Amino acid sequence: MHQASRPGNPKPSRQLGQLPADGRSALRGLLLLLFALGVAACGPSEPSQEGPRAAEDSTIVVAYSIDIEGVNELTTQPTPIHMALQYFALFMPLLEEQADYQDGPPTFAPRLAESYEFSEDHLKATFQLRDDVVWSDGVPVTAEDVRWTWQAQTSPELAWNYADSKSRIRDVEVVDEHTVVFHFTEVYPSQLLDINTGVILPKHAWSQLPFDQWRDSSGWFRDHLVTNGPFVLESWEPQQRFVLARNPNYFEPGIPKVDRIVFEVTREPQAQLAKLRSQQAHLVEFLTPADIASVEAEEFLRVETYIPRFFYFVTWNIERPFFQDTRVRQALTMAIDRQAIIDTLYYGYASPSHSPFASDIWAHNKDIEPWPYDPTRAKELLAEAGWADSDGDGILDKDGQPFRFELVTNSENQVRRDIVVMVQQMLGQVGLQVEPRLMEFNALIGPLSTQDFDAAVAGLAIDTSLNLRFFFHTEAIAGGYNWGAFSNPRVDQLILDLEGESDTVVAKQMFDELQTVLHREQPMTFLYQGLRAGGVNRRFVDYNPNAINSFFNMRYWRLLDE
Amino acid sequence: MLRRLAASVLLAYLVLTLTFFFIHLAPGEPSVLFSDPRINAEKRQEIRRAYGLDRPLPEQYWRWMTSVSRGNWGISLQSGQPVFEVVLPRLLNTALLVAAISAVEYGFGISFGVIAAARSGTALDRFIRAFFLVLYAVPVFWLALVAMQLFSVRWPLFPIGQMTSHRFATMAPWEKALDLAHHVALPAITLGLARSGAVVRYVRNGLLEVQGKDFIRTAHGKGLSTGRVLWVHALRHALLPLAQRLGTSLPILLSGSLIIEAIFSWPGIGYQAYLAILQRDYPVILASTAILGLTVVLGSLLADLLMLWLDPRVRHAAT
Repeated sequence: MHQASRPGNPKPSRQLGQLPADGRSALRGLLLLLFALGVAACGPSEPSQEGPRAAEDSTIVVAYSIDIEGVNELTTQPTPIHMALQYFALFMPLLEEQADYQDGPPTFAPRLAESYEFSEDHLKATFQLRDDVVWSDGVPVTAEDVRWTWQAQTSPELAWNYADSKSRIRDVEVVDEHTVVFHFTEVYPSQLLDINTGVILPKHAWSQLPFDQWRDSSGWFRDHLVTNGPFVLESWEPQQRFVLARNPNYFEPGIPKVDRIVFEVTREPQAQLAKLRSQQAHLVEFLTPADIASVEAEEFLRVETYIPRFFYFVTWNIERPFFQDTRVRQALTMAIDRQAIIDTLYYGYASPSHSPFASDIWAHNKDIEPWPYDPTRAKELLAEAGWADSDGDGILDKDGQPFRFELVTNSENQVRRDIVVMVQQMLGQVGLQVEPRLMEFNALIGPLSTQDFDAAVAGLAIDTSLNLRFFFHTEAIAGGYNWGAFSNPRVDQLILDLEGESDTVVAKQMFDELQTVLHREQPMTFLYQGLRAGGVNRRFVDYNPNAINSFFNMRYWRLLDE
Repeated sequence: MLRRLAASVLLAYLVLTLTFFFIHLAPGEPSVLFSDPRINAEKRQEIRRAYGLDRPLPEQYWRWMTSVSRGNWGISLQSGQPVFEVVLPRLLNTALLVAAISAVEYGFGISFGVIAAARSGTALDRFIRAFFLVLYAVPVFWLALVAMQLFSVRWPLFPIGQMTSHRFATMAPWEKALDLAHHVALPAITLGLARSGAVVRYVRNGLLEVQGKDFIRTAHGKGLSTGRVLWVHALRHALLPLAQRLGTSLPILLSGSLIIEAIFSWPGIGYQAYLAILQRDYPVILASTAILGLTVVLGSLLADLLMLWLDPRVRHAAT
């Protein structure tokens, strides 16, 4: 019997401080603001009714950039805020993945299930559910909910994004009210992860609607929402805010530790920052690098950072003759001054990377020495590959073909636009002519997926499974995220072998080799791993974001009295 | 008038049809199809089928038109909600914002236009013209950010964004009205002031233009006070071009409030349409286009009605 370890108490926040008294007189402002025409006087005399001054009822306000689209995990896009809402606020999975991914694959702590056990042949997994968990309407959570959730997840009418994770689960058997057995078609390493993908949904409330109507019935789920997590959805005003309130029926005593969490949809980073600085919000989950120093300088604010699971890169389309030679791709990487990009655009809140895995993930290969910024060596490598400025126009050429290509990125992203310009200038110094091209993200996906581009600046997120199949396997060239059409038999084999490897030590060796091949082949130039920094009011403690989700432990969040 | 209305409806239909084909032919697909790397090609096809996006474009058009003719504008691909449940509340929110902006724009614009005309050629006149010209020339997003920094952060007078407080639902009716006014004030003042520069010039020039006209001399001759002549007789004449402007600027305001909506987190139709375009949420794009098309028709109608009311020459011609 596996008894997963209990999650430890969240570590206390570093420095706690009281908000400074607001000595800035509203009267002074009023005198200057004649055009306010008395409207301001109509409103509350305090900065905001929802701000820290209203903390007697323990409400945390988060200024967040996007809204939720619905309350049903199976019909909404898996954005971070939806994942937070589903996994850490409204519902519960059977087990809770822990943020201990630094030294090995993450472990799982009990959540809805208090224990689990695999059969000897590993084709069956028996889960024992807690017997004290009820839905917010008082109905007990049972094994029937677990089985029905699996039926919904695998329903073809529904076409759930993650349905593939359930493809090797043959059946889910209800043994008794609190015991459920997962039957597998085969044995493989991520069986537990696949069982645990998705939260358990309320059969008694949601089974009234046929699966084929689910995608068109977002509002229905909201109207029939019952939850078993620490919070209930008190209100949701689309594109305004959604409010989570304490679920009185939640099974853990004294949890959550605040009465409410208000997520205010605040699109503009400058507006988010203004809310934080005026104490109308306690948390801005993502600060732009340019703003981090100013937040750190405020006495009543602090900055919390973590390394997210994003990797940013320039991908070279290997179907283009320019980029087919490995030496050329290595030269391109050495010609790009990644530290300069970090210093200029990230104000130092990032570090150069050489891998798709962030440096704090157990699978990251720490022995690889990143390619240095060395334009001289880059020129030598290009010369070795046959590129020379034969006509003296300043641009390298080969067989009469100048080394000229387009570097594309999505126009909405200012940092990437700046990267394109910097890379253009850096590659120009080694004799390559880069033509920047900007496209709207949605329009860019098509050319990337069909390899109808030369080179692109982009970024991707990698999930807990660390499966690189979607990014570097030959199969992912058509319709996947292997936009640069990289194809290497050894990489393909390693990716497939890793999917079947249970031994962490062996898996680590395979991950190391995989990254070594990627480092040598340079299908893309890995640019940097950025730190994700959040701005937090000092009264708000126990906010411990991690790469699983920034809102991972929201049930433990606390707000100190003024 | 009826013929013009019919032509406008036909125009709106054509705009919708063109929008349908353009947006479907534009590169890119609904973002529900590619937002997750785990969605493989087969799954994408399943999702396309679920939304009817795998059918030939003419068939999609026919199904959409048939559905619209029954009053059903479809389901948002992004949120899974009926389109009008997404779009209509946003339209009302924007209408409220536009009304507040217009009140500030015309209130300030007319008042300061009259003052500038009454003090024509003085330092005050020059100051008013220069001040409003600068406001008119400054980019709205910059003005909005400065206003936010000054009047929400530096002097915390107004909330930063949102339409209401989160306790709105529990407030008494009068508290709700005040709360709404408090939230709308800063965006309305910002954009209203920025736009009022044009009104100041219209009014000032209009008033100066009629100064020597017979009906003004007659009014003075009848012994009316200068103020009455200015505010009642002359101003009415000066407002004629503004009536046209009000009608034609309605759709511009509705769609152009996007920036203000984004900065102040106002849940309006401008930002909704922008998001829908980025996400290729076809049903929401089409419904938003239809609504904006309708405002063009209504705006034009409103301008005509105002002209009828304000200008006796038009009224007599109509009768």
